[in-house]
Amino acid sequence: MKNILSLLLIIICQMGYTQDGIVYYEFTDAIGVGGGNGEIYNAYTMFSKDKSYYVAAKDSLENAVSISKAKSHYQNSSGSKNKISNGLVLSAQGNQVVCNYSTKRLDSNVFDGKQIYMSETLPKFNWKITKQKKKIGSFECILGISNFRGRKYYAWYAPEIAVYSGPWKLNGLPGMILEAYDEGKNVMWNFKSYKFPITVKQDYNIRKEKNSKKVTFLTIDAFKKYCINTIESNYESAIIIAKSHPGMTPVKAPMTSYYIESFE
Amino acid sequence: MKKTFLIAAVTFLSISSYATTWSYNCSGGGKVIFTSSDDTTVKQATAMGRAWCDNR
Repeated sequence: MKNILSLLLIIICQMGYTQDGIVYYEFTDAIGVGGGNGEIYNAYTMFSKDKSYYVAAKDSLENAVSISKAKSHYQNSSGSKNKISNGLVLSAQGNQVVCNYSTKRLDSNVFDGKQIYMSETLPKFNWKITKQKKKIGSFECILGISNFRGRKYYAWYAPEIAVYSGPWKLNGLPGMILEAYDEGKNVMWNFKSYKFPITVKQDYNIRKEKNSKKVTFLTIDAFKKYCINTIESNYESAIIIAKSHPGMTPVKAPMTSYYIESFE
Repeated sequence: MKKTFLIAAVTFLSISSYATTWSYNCSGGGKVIFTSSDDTTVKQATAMGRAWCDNR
């Protein structure tokens, strides 16, 4: 009887561990230029039935070639919008998003010269599911469209992978999102590969900086204020620098030219 | 008055249509956005961006 119970316990534990999967993406940051002309980062979303963990712009996901390749001059087709990149902007933790579908919470961080941590209620997307279909990898995918914080997103999800997850903060479709982009292709996530199940137990928590004693998680309103203040102070310092560079006029562009999210 | 407004609007539109927007990403994060005339070279824009990253 004891043996049977032990065996059952092992099977239950195994079943618990085999619920996790992972999707690897290529994330393109073409913010400010559009058309998918921007730096390419490696990214992934790890998922279980009720949680997901997304990360991009992480040191350990990149190599010298990808960093150097990203160092470039990007421009739109007319040449009116230009972006000069010094390579990939990376951190040890990367830019992470943790969704908990049970507690309806979303924790995230962005590296903006320093780590900014945020915690918010899981955003609700108002997805419009279309009849458009296409195959991504071996998966039959359906197109969903939704607006979210200043951008219109197109997301291709695979009903076969029955979770509500996706890359970054995109979630809530009846299947894993394998490809997504905004209307102007300022941000893009392209499918690379998929693995299921992952048998090793996964950690669905935000990784924090090693030497930070206390990490403060901003509310989404506090993050909005941080973005506005950063844009303002960057603009003011640019005015001073521009005095030594005739012909250059600093601008305060819309928030979508600086960040993925806009709260304007 | 109407005529002056019209001339100003046309002038503004013609200037803005020839402006080039530059977004310069600092290596350690952060970005500056500025415009210039469309004959500005990448080298000139880089100099402005680099100066901002080093002195902000």
